[in-house]
Amino acid sequence: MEGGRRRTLEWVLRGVSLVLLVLLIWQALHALSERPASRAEGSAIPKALARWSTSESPAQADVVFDSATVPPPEVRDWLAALRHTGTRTSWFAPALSASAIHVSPVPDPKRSVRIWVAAPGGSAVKIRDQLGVIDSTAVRAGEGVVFTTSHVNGIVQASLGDKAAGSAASSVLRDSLTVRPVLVLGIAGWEGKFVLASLQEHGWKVDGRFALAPSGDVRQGATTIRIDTAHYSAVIAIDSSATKYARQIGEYVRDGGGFIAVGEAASVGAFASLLPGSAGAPLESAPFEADTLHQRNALALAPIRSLKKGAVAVESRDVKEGRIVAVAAQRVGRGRVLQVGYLDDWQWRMGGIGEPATQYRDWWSRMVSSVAYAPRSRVTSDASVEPTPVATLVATLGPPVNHAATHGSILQDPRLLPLLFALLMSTLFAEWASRRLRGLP
Amino acid sequence: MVGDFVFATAMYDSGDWESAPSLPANLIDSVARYTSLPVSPKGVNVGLGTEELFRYPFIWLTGHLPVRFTDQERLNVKRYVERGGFMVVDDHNHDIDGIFHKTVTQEITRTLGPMKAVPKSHEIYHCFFEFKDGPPATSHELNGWGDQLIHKELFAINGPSGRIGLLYSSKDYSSEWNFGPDTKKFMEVDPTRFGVNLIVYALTR
Repeated sequence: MEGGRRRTLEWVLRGVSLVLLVLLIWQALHALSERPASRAEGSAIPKALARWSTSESPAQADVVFDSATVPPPEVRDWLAALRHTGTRTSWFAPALSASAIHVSPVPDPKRSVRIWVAAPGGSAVKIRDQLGVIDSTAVRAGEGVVFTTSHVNGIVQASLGDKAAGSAASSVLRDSLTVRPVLVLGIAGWEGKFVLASLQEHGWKVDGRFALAPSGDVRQGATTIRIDTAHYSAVIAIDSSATKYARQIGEYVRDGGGFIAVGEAASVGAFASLLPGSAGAPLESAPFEADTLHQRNALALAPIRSLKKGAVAVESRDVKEGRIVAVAAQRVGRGRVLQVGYLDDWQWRMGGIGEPATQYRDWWSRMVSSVAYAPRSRVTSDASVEPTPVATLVATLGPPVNHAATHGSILQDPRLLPLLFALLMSTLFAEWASRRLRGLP
Repeated sequence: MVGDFVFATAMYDSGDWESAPSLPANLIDSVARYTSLPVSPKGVNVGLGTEELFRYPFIWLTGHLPVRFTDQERLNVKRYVERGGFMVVDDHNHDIDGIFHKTVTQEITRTLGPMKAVPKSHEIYHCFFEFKDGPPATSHELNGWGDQLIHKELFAINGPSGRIGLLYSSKDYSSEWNFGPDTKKFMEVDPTRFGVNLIVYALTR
């Protein structure tokens, strides 16, 4: 090599050596001022926590939960406590999916528990209680899922996919409802008969008073009627014969009772102050179609018009003139009122397509359930549950941090020290060798 | 008028479904006479194998001749009872174990299963008029001497929740009640009162 070029190379090697020396000194000084960072993954976390709390005292403790299981409360709380001792903590869980569960009672004899689950779209949710699996389904994007069941035993868990039950969001039923009988009032006829029969078949206790003759009514259930919240969860008026109870029904609703006016009763003036709207001119019935909702669309209907402020449409039907309301609801005092515009809806049960008796029964039960007065009482439970496990984790430890993505400058990585030292020695050796080959000392 | 009770008579392919033509008017008269129920002044005849059947949750079926349901009739009868309809089947013959009785009970058993006797305590005997001895006797069987000895009970198939869905009678109410309503004024006791009980039961249970 030409002498000029070699001298230049030697100057470059000296320069590089100087830079490496500065870096090494800077790293050494940095390491002196910083306590070490430490990291633990998966099953090593509990031991690391013990170490970090005793022999080590890292400046930074990073944990990676490597399963879909939310860490147990003791790990979570330990990490949080570590943070308060001055150690920065961070966590990351690449396999963890957020989920939430809520279990609530429903005033319904057959489906008395409703389970709400929120989970990422596309995930498969399995619900189980302490007796076994209750149900499973797939979550559609942007939607949660709701399960109903007759009862649950102990802790209810929602697990995602085939993961272990321990990874689930969990909750318990914390309230129970006191459900009282339903009273059906009307003239003896098919509407009253089928409403009463369907509710009884669904498991409701039902009292009936059907006007039949000047000499008296036909009774079902209790011999005397006391329309108050101590005796009835809901009252259903079928026709104008129920107006003789209008005053009691008004007081009952304002005290919290549920009231449903159907058919002719949904258009009588005596109930006007309670009803969400006024009944329009009846539309005739049509042949039944296979779809469940369309089957109700085939029923004769007195559309509910002029909804009052605060009233809501529960069911609607599209007709040539636009959308008309078939069922409306509103609160009156502490009670709830449903106005059902369908006329002779029993024809759906008798003449509908598929399983109309079951559909009719379920629909009427849902209607009653939606207004029923059912006082709650607290159920004592000392079960440890995690209704929102990931949210709880975030609330305790802060949001997750992906170490791989957020690590500091590579120059601060202490693992570079040996490499930098080796490079320094190599450049110094090369510079020394070059000089010696030129015959210089 | 919407909501009125309509008395329906079942038309079936076999037999003589129209054998008691005055019975509907007589029972309609009794319902109007004893109750305040809104009732249609005219009855209807409904094909047992048609969808129209399901518009009438109470239906009367009678005859003298052998009964063989078609497949559609059999399917409809099963659905009718399962959905909460109330069908009364009455043997219009005066004899014992006649051909209507044999064939129609075979059909009922084949379609809905075996029938059970209705106890005297059943609501059907007490829901409006009181019949503490069970089904009222008719004057036709053995000229009125032997009815309650031979046909002690009515039989039934229960529908949902134990309500009667099909009631079977060998007592020949179709003859007993097959007279003009005006004749009632000459009677000490109106025999159609039990018919009113059947209709009240159907409408309220």
